[in-house]
Amino acid sequence: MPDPVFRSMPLDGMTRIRLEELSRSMDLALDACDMCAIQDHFKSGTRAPTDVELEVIAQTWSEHCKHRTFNAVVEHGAEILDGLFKTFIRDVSTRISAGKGDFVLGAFEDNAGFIRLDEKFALCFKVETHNHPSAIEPYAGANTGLGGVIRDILGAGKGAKPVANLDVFCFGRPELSDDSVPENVIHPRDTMKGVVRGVADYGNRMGIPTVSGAVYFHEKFTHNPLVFCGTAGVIPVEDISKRVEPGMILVLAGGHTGRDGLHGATFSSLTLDEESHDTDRGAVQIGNPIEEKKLTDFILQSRIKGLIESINDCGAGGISSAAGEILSRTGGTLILDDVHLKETGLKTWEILLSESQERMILVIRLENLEPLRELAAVYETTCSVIGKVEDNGILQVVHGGETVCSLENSFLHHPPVKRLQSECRRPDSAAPTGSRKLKTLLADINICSREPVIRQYDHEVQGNTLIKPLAGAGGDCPQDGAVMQVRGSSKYFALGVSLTVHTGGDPFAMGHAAVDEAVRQVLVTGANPDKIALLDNFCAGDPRNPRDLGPLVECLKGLSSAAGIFQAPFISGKDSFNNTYQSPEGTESIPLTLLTSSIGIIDDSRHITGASIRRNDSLICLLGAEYNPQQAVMNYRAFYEAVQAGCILSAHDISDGGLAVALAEAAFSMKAGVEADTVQDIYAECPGRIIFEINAADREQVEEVFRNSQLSILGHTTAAHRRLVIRQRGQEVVNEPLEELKAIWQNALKPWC
Amino acid sequence: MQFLHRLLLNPQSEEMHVNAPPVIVPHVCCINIRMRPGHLDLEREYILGYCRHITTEDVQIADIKPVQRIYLLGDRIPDMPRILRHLVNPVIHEWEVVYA
Repeated sequence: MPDPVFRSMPLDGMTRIRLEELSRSMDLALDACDMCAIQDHFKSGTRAPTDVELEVIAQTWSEHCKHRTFNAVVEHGAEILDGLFKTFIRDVSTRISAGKGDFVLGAFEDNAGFIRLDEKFALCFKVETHNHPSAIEPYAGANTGLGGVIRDILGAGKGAKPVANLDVFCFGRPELSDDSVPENVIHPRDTMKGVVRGVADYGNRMGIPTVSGAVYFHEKFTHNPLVFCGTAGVIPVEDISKRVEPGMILVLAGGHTGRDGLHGATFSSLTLDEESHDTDRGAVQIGNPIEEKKLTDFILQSRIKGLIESINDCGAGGISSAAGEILSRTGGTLILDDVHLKETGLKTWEILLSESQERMILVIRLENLEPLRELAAVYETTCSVIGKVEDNGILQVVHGGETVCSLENSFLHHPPVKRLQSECRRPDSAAPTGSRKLKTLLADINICSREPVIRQYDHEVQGNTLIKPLAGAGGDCPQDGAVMQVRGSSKYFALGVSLTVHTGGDPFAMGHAAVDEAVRQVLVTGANPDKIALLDNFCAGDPRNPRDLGPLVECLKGLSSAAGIFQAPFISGKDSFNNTYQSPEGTESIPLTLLTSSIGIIDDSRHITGASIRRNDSLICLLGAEYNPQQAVMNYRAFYEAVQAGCILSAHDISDGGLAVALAEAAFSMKAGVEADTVQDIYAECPGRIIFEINAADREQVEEVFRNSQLSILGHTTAAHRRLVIRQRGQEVVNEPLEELKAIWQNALKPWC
Repeated sequence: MQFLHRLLLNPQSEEMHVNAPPVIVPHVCCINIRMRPGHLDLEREYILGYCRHITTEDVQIADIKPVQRIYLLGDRIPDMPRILRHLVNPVIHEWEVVYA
């Protein structure tokens, strides 16, 4: 039996300052209030806490695990907001879901949100961030970010099958000179290369297609890049509900446990600085996709054979977090002696909190242990019993025969509620203006083709991707949402993303625009507007700084308002704070960044619509004008009616670069030249607009469908030339060969990849 | 040696040198990079994994330490800190520069 390595940590008599010092010296990332709460808790007992208990509490109370900011009481000007998550995300989503029958099958409870695909299958969807690790080691950080969210899907229900990945990145500007990047910060160019390679290596080797994503560049992300990784999964509806009952046992499956990734959960609550590369080494994990592939096959087979009652992934916080969540309602005992270790000499808390990758904890009935072990042998993975479920409401950890941790769930899972202050003045929304040129916009690295990144991903493995990230006649045109089929179902689903960054303007409008774009992304592929669900992923600076928190609150208000208007519920989400960098000049925060991901059901294969122009004798229509959300809802319903009537040949949402860029992107299929005439600003980026292509013969029918909508016939496609011609109130403002425009758009990112 | 060839070499695309002088001459210097101890080295894992399938009674491999060697060509010693900044990450790598 191994010797437990732990120590008693008397807190009695310690001042707030000494408690804070202790937190810092142990990398607990707990503030004075938290430490005092721990001190008070143990005052009432007969013993001092152990270091294992302090580590478990710090992990459980971390921003990463308990979302302390989103659950805080926030003073926002004269308003007192009792929990941002509850007020702006959960409550509105609960109301929306109640009106949608059994469409939403699970939200904010499991490792992912669930929606119904059909009578038999459900879809689940989750997006995570892995920002701090990717800043320190881009390849490994992104690699394990994707590995982690894949395990979230494996840990959803009794084990869902991962079927599609998405990845969204924010980097500093790649053209920065080496000298302008601090010596201990990785250059954005290298960060991008490492991150993209990390995602590609993991997703490709796991055999999961990467079908959707976005990349954004801004100087404010030089020190703190953002890496969002998402995965969608499929699971039979009857396997969604989990069961954890006294008498069941906990089994740790997958990779061995080592010192890698220690303090990852608390690390994400800290500010990066010039020393981070030297001091945060323990927080970097490196993923092994082959190990996770074996684990995945093992889990899916175990679920199919009915061996799994519940399951959770070992992510941030390792066994402590995964088992702690499983046992949070019942209580139970973890026995660390049989954990498979990579190396000897690990302290007890290191075994418990290690974030070694590719591990899952399964809850099974004792009689299923032998069949489970037999399956593990087939799939060449390990599994060992590490605990049992009890009904005492206590998380107990035993190592070497000694109890090293005994914490009541009522204390462990109820950290002190933080009180925060925020301030934000809502400026007027400034409409984008200026004498922009189409060629300049197409060459902008925030608008140009993502092909150099996309081509590194396998987006077809598993053979279910119907609309790929690049499609159209030449297979190189941008699409909006990705569309997937599900074997065994006659329904399809679309995935979309909207990345919005607060670089000025009104954060309320940003929240609105994010939801609108996410909805449009899947709507234009043919998704039913009544069957769209959303995920929110916020990244921000220091939540204790009112100026960092203020825009977030206003953005949440916009997000919540738009979700209500579009009747699109949130089913999952994740926030990442403390994306700050401490330099000798001061602390720099990233701009508030919101990724809104959408998943929508497509009821019929005939509704699936691409974004590229298909005919050389069709009409080009514009839906939407100045943004009005209520009007947008009517527009979108009419659009779906037209989709169902078979009138839409292709459709593309208007986003960065406005109408001019959207027309150019649609025309890059090179099937036809385009001639359009509009009264709108061709570079305006206001939300709520879609361009679509129809057969000329369907014009009357389309106008009838859109009689209560903001529809205008913009122009037509033509076989006479291959140019993009745009007139504004009859005056020609663009007349360029498509081949030239496409070359500019296609080549702009290549020098940096 | 026969075992090592089977273990490490893809005869279609690679050649193998054992205890040979630097492969590329002339060069200004070369940089040897390897993973820090304790960090997962996927190259090592894959080789050891493959090794388990072809191990014979005569030869057993307990461990290996793969090293990546990068040759720098030119006519003068380059700005090494700048080059190293793009090639290695002190968080996960150990490295040495060997001048010709």
